Amino acid sequence: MRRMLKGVWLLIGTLLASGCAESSQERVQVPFEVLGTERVAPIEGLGGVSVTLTRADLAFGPLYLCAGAQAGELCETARLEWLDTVVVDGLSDAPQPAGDLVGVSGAVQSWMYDLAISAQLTEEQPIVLDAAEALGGHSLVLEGTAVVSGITLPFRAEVPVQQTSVTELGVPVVRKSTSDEFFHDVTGTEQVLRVRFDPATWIAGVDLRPFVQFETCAAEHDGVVCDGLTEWVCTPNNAAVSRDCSARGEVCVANVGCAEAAVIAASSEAFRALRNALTSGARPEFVWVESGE
Amino acid sequence: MFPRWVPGSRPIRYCACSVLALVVSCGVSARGYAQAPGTQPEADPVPQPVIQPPVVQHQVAAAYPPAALTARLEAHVDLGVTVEVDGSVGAVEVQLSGGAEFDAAAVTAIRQWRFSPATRDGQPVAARIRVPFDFVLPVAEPVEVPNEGHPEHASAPAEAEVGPEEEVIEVTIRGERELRTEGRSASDFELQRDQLRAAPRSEGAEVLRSAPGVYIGRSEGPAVAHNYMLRGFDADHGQDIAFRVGGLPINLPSHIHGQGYADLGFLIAEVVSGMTVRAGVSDPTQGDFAVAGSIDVSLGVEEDERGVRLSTSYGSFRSSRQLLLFAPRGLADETFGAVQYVRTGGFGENRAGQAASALLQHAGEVGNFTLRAIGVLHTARSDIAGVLRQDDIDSGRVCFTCVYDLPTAQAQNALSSRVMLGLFADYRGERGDSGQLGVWLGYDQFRIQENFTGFIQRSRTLERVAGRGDLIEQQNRTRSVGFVGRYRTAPMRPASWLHGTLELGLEGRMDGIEQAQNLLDATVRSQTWDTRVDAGVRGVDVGFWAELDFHATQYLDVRAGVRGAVLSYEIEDRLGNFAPIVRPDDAFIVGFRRSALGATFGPRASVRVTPLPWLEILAAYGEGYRSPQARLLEDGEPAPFSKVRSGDLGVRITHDDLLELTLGAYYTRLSDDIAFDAAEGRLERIGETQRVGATLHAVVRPLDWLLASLSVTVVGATLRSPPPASASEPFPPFVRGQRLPFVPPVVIRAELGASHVLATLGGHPLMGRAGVGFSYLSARPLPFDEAAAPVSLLDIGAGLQFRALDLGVQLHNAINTRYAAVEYNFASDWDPEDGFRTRTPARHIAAGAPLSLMVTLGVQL
Repeated sequence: MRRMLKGVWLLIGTLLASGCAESSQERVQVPFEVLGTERVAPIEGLGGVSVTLTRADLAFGPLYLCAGAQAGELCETARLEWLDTVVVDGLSDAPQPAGDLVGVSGAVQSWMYDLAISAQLTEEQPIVLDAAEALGGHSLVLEGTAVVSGITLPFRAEVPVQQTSVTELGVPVVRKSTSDEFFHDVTGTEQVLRVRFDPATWIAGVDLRPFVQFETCAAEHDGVVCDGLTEWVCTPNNAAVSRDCSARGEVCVANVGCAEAAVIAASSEAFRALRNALTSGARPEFVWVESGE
Repeated sequence: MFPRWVPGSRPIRYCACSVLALVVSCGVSARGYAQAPGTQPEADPVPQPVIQPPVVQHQVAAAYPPAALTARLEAHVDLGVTVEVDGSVGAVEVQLSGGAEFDAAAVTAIRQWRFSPATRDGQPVAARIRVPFDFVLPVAEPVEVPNEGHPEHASAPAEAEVGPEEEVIEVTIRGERELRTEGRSASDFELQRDQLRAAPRSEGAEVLRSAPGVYIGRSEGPAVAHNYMLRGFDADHGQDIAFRVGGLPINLPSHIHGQGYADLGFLIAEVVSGMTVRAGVSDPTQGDFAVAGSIDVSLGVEEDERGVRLSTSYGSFRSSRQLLLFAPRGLADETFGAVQYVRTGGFGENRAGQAASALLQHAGEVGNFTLRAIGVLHTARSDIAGVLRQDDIDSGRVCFTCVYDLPTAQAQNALSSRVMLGLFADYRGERGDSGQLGVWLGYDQFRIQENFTGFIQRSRTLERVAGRGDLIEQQNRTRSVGFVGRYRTAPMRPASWLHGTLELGLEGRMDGIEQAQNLLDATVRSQTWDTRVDAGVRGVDVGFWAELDFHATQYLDVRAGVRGAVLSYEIEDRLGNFAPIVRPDDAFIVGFRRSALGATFGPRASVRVTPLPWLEILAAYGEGYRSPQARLLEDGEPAPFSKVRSGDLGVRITHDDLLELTLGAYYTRLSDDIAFDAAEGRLERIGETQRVGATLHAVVRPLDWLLASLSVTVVGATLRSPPPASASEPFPPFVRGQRLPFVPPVVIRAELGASHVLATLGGHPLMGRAGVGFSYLSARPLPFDEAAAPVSLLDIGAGLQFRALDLGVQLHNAINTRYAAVEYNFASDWDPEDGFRTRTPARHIAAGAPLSLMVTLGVQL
């Protein structure tokens, strides 16, 4: 009887031990940092325009890392997530701690994020999160100067990036494309995940040339035109009035006239280009830093 | 094998509990000095003492030795029994032997009897009585007669040897139709009424907790079926356990809330007379859903509790229970009617509920047949608090027993109703053959509104509609009709050392199922904002079996058989082919009608070796199945069955009535398991799984008034081949080799029950009783490598019974454990306004009931 009981307890012990076997998924927490790209030299923009950025603040978050190769609707359950927002100084390459990604270990093959304006759970008005709030309700605030045909043009852009009637409902607006390379087996031993943004990629496709104009009043012309730094206010009876914007420390912005800077309006091509760059063109770089590196 | 013991049983005038007809006449003489009235010497100046003989309070059936049964042997055994001053059975002497096996059976039974002691002038005294046992083959079963006024009854007076000094207690016992069956494997257990009542229960279905390896809990209120677990299987609402109550099959195939949905909320504890638990699949009568095993609950009211009983209970959380039980004396145990109404305000927010049940059963004998009709009616409605995110509880956003302060959470509720009728005829042939024929029909309706995930769903039918709350509405209506028939031959004796029988059986059912699943917007009068399921299913299930049951000498029993089944389905998927996003320009009529049929066969075998009278070595193997969720079948698909292969090996040690110890090991492999998916609020496939485990079950009766039982089940349950990651499911919650979610590796159940005469008042005993039940579940694995916290629950009960009055007090969760009735791990979002949608899996719990008190006052008329 004692032998039999001993055998039973041995079996129970074995079973308990096997029951405690590790599985391949574990809760993990990975520190997360964001950073920009410091630019010393001017950026070459579209049409050979030389661009120097003085401010590139991006409202970023939340971020999801997904197990599948395709994010979006197929990422109902994410492997890792960072539920916060932060204003990224796009011109500083100093890592900016943003908290922790939390989730479950395993491979990640895609990512998706919002730019601090989120509509994942609402079908009408999106919600402006803290970082975008700090930027006046925008996802991106970009300031700098562009040298167009010898004229130095200060410019400013304020871009909200949010769901529209044509974006997929209920998922973040920025998602990895299927052609992008992204794979990492998250083990929880990572020292940090860094996401690096490069503002040059945002501005590279933006055509700033239309903001500079070399025209004079023509017949039947009504409105404001620029001839370099000179503003012309045209009337139908050819009673044009001009003024030198540079004398006021300003530039002449096409269709606007003298102004401190060119504002990239929401209706402009430049605005659409910038927004497209943020959502589907310019990809941030994901860098996993392993412990000991 | 499982002697009966009834805490708090009342003195009886006659009992019905024997396996076969047996007649007991008890003569009594006070030992030493007690003398019967009328026998005092005339010259004695001392007044004649008033002597009352012992009264049988609890009787236990003697098990007919199986070998003798098949060999068609009968016997008579006379026992001389000392009834001690406390009513217990003292010395037992075989005065007239009927053979070793019969003697042992009679002694085993009598040792479990309990009496109110003989009294002399009101004082308890020891007494000596004679108890004759007649072991009579079924054909000779006598019809029950009352004990008074029927001295002509054929069996009773013949055995009564009443001496001139003896008082006579004449007890006539009607033989039961069902033979007590011997366990096929070390995982078979037959629990009698005493074990089922040793520990306190908060509701009828909790009698299942006494079964080794079984745990049941409630997480969705009284209108939704319990969550069941059986030795390594998380059977959810019944998917892995075939339940029968009074012969009626309870599981509902292809139910939208869970395959094999089995709601035992209608059970009334007072009419549960026994329970047979067969873990594993070695019995060919086990059909659909017998994956982890099967549980058969038998209904009846034994003679000592018959009459009219009114009972009212009140307790914590504005809970109450009213019971009316009517069991006319003189009729069969199986004949009774019971009505129960329960109501609770709930132990937290949004948990109020009501339920009413009626059970009616009548049995009577006609010639060689016992006819039994049974009816069940049940309805319940309750609010549901649903699940809460653990991080929301931790942060104080919502309290443990509360509900989210959101309309979509507060609108959770369920309603269920069921009616079942059955008619069964048991046959006992004169040559020892037997059979059964039964027909039944049922109607079940179920509706639930439940939100597991908060606000993450999007509409598939309405363009650009999302975030209106994931309040899932499920509706299911099932109409069923079925039959069962089986025939066991008379014993065959191909050799002098070999005898046995052959059983052939056939059963079938047809179900018509209508089901729907929608998403409701609780803020707009539960407006439907998405439709997920709209389907009708017609299912036919025909099962058949054959089994040889042979005994080679007294040492070896072998059973070998086969079970087969053919299942067919016609599915009208009224939302089939609906694809609004992929091909919006297509013009077609939505709908997908299809049919499927499949067949399965599997062996069932068991071997029992009895090298010593107290030792059994048992081995069993069987292959069973679970029917598919019909709505998921494709056209022409050969109706895949979830096939289970189950093997058991173990020993059982029996030492008179003092100890019964069972040790066993088992292995099961299931080809296609299913587990709960919170996003859809239903079960989804998780692939092949296996379990390796061991069980220990012990029942000890160290004193005649004390019963203790312990069961320990240890299991290693793993996923062998979960569905791989796919484009549509890139992040599956399960990976190969992972421990099976929701299955506790260790389940422990301990029970203690005591019943004793505390005093004798006016010649009537004041009975006291106490019971303790303890359940332990170890930490359960959850998807994504989380683990649910262990659960320890202690229930305590005590009561007094005097004549017709009964007062009881029960404490449930006596140590006030804060525990989760269920725990899950999945993604949800309950805060749509904060702008952050959480997508990683998170712990969710549904609170278990805290400490509660219930006081019951009963009157037995």
